[in-house]
Amino acid sequence: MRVSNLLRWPGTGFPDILETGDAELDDYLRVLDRHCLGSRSVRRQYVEEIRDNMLEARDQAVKAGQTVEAANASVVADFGPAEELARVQRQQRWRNFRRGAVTMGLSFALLMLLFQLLAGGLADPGPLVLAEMFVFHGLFFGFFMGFWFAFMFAPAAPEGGVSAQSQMDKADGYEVYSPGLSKVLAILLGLVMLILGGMTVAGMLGRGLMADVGVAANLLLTVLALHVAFGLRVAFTRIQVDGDSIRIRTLLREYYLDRDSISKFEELGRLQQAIYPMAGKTYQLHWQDEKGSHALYLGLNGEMVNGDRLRVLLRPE
Amino acid sequence: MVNNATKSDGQILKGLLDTLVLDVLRQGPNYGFGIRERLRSRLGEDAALVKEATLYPLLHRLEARGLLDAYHEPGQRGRPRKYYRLTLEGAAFLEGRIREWRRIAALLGRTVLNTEQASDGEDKQ
Repeated sequence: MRVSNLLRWPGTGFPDILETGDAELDDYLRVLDRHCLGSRSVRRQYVEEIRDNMLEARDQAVKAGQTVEAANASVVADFGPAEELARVQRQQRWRNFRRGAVTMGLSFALLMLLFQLLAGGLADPGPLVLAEMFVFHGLFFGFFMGFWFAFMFAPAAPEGGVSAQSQMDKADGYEVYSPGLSKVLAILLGLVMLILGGMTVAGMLGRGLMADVGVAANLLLTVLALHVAFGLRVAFTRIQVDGDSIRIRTLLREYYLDRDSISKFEELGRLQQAIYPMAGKTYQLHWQDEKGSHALYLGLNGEMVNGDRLRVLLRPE
Repeated sequence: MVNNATKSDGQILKGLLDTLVLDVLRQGPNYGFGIRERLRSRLGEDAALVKEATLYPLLHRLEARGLLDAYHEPGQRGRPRKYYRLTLEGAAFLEGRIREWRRIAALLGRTVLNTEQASDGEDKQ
């Protein structure tokens, strides 16, 4: 087994769904896919973009009077060596891996260090062991999370209406939502976090498995568990876009707004993102209507169907 | 010699490609093939310079730099289609590039092209 296949798991083969039925184009796409990195769904998003644009270019050449064979050959020549296009995808994946590994590894290692210091101080287990644990947590968690987001996780495919040449103000209706599996996982993870929170609260009262950890460390874990559990509510947000009308349903409230009434939509800064409990990226949405000014923290993540469409729609031009 | 000159023209125009792509997206969101078509119609006889082999890596680089925002929509073939849209950073970058190119064009107008015109005039006299 080739080592690079480890970065192409699961599903190392060429997805049949991408086949065009034209041998020359399919050969090109197979080579492209073979040189790309990531799981089948990660690679598919990249190969799909190239494939669809190849087909459009081919169809246009045929309309202009070329034979299908000549059009295929000229399209393949225009797209250049498949290995070169794949190199761009590999660079993207590695860049995502480095970014994810550093930010998430460092965050987790810092949290664990803080927990150790609160639980036992600097003397126990000693600075050297603390340093070793910091490096281990950073590398282990950073590698795992970086690998997941760079090579395994592909954002949800879009659904719903097609915009007219993507003039976004004329978009047909579509919904932004988390699929059923995301909701089930959010409930399960939320339950785990609540159980952990219960144990740490009991620990603060000197009871149960966490009693020996100390009040400060238990308090930190309680806050973290509640932070994660509360952030998972984003899985139950549902947003309906119908032309210029936007309806946002969160777990607790419902909002109606017009696209024209949006005065600001921006991503929170890195520190604010870390503090505000939301699974995914948090955006601040401001709008005005006859009832006055409104503001909402809106969470969007890659698991949400049509999430990227909405993000771009709300962003000011 | 002629080949070298043509190659050099190509390099300059390729250097312009990021500005041209951003300018196309200033008109509104578009996808790979749509961007290529707009570029080709604008470039006229230089249209052959826009090859997908250059365009797609460029689009992905501009996206990674935050100058373009990408999103997916269901495409006409039933499969998702990736669209690109200019970000505020992209619009500011484009303005900067346009200013730079204007300066270069003005500089050339004052120097090389001006000298050429002057020597053409002298030749005629």
